[in-house]
Formats: sequence, C-alpha cells, structure tokens
Amino acid sequence: MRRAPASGRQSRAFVYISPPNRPERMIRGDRPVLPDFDGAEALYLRYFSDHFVDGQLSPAAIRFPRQSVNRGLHSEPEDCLFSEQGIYNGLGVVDFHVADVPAKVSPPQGHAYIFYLKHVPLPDNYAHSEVWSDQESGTGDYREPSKTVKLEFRVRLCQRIGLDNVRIAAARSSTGAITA
Amino acid sequence: MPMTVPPVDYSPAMAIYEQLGPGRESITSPYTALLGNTYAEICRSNFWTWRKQFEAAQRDVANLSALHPGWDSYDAEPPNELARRITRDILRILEQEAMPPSRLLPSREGGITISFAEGSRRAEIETYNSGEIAAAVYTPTNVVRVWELNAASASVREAIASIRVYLTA
Repeated sequence: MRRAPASGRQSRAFVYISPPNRPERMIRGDRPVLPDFDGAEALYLRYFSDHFVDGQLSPAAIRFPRQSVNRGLHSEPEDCLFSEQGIYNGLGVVDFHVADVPAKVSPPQGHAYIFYLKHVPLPDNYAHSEVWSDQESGTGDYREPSKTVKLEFRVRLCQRIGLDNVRIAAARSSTGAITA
Repeated sequence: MPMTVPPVDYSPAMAIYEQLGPGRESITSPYTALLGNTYAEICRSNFWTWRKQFEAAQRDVANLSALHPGWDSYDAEPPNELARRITRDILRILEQEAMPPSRLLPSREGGITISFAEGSRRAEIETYNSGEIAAAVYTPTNVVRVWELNAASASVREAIASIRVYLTA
C-alpha cells in the first residue's frame, strides 16, 4: 500500500496509513479556545467507504448531537486519521464548510433548533470541535431534539457532502471490510 | 402379493447439466440451449435479483450484532437487538412490496439506516436503538418530508408506499 500525499485533493486509489509520530500542530499546549468560526472554514470528518450512496454522504455517517470534527484552521485532513496504533487506517476524510452546517431546523410542530460549532480542543488534538444545538427560544430549558429534527439536520448536512468533498478516500467499510 | 415395478430413472439427461461454451455442440444442444437461456432469464429476473438482495440485507443485519461500542471510530453505540429486529421486520415488508433498498448501514446515531436512491430522489428509513423509527424523502437540494412512524406493520407499509410514490414520481 502506498501512503497518500500529506495534503491536498487525493486520488481514490490511495489507502491512507497513519504516520507513527503525532504532528506538532495537533498538540494544544497553551493555545486558547477559539470560539469564533468563519463560514468558509473547513471542517474534517472521518467516514467509511460504504458511507456514500449514489455520490452523496449517507445520514448514517453523521451523529447528533456533538458530532466531532476537526476545524481546518489548525489542522490538515490527515490529522483526523492520526493514531499511534493505526486504528483509523483505511478510513477516509471528507471536508465541508462551517456554512454548510444547517443553522436552524424548524419542525412543523414544536420548537425550532439552532445549530453551531463549538471549539473543544483536546490535549493531543487542538483542532477538535463539535456540532452543538440549542432551542431557538433560548429559554435555557434545553431539550434533546426529536429524531425527526435530528434526521432533517443530518440529511441537510449530507446534502452538502458529495464525492468532491473526499479529501482522503476510505478503503474500510463500516463493518470492517476492505473495499479498495 | 406385492407388485414389483422396475425402477424408473427420473433424473434428466446428464448432458443438460453440461457447461456449454461458445460454439460447443452436443446431442442435447437444443434442450441445453433452451434451458440455458431460460436459466439465464431466471437469474436476470427482478424477482431473483431482489431475493438475493434481501437475503444479503438480512445477513447484513445479523452481522451488525458483531459491532462494538465506538465501532464508528467516534463513540457511536452499535445497533441493538431492538433496532435489528425492527429492521428485519421492515426488510420483510420491503420484500413483500418488492422494493429493495440501495444500502443498509449501521448509523452513527445508534441504529440502522435503510437508504433508497432513484436518480436524484432519495429516501431513508432509520430504526433507532430506542425503538423509534423515522423516515425522510429528499432531493440533493431540498428536504421534502421528515416524519416519525411506529413499528406497526400498517405504519411501515404506509411509509414505504409514500417513499415508493416519491421515488417513482
């Protein structure tokens, strides 16, 4: 197996293998939480080879709430696949932009929910961030969105993620099979 | 006094089972050609294609029991027995309705996603570990409808009918 280039758009023929040493840029150190996200900032998400259905990411690839992503301001796509033990080898990475995250979902009945990014740096992954939600009314009485609100959010996000968003192609399926 | 009847060989001529290559002839070639064509037609038929797809889908659901917590490389729960049972029931109804899904996947949401795609039109039925079920129909740019259904056969059949109408419209 060949190693994929360090960055940039990559061929689907590559199978990415994590390097043994963690890139320096991933270490948080004394760096602060950066709460602001620009709409054009890239976000990186791991995916499996069977997560694309007819050229579009399946909602099965997204969880909610608190879907983890890496923010592009402080990371490269391959950082999502870094592991000393190589546990992410064979997975892929897609990118999307902050502006692609649906800002709001309003169900026919019940509360509308707003969605936003939160920078949640980890000691060994400074770029780690999460997608959060809150009720639009801002009453502080947060309730978990219903399954239909969550599904609509996940579908709308997946509508923005096609094969052009693949930064590192996955070779491993969600059940562990190697497909490349 | 018992009657004895000479044994009758009901097995078909062996030549019928011969593998025929291009240009190969045998004394039973008219029958083998006929049977070969018929067999090929049967294999190509939607019924048998769907049958194989549904058998594979049922196997996929069974195999999902092998997933462990965090299977998705983040921290997703694997589909539990309830989600798998509901999915198996939905697959049986889909088979009766001759409507094979495009893909069946474990969901990071904790459950199983059954996906349908017909050109630019798409649909999902998701079963969750909580026992809840949700469905969505959408295009690449528009979410047409998202709704909740229950595990009762009538509710599932109604959702499948709605999805079929949407996908084939």
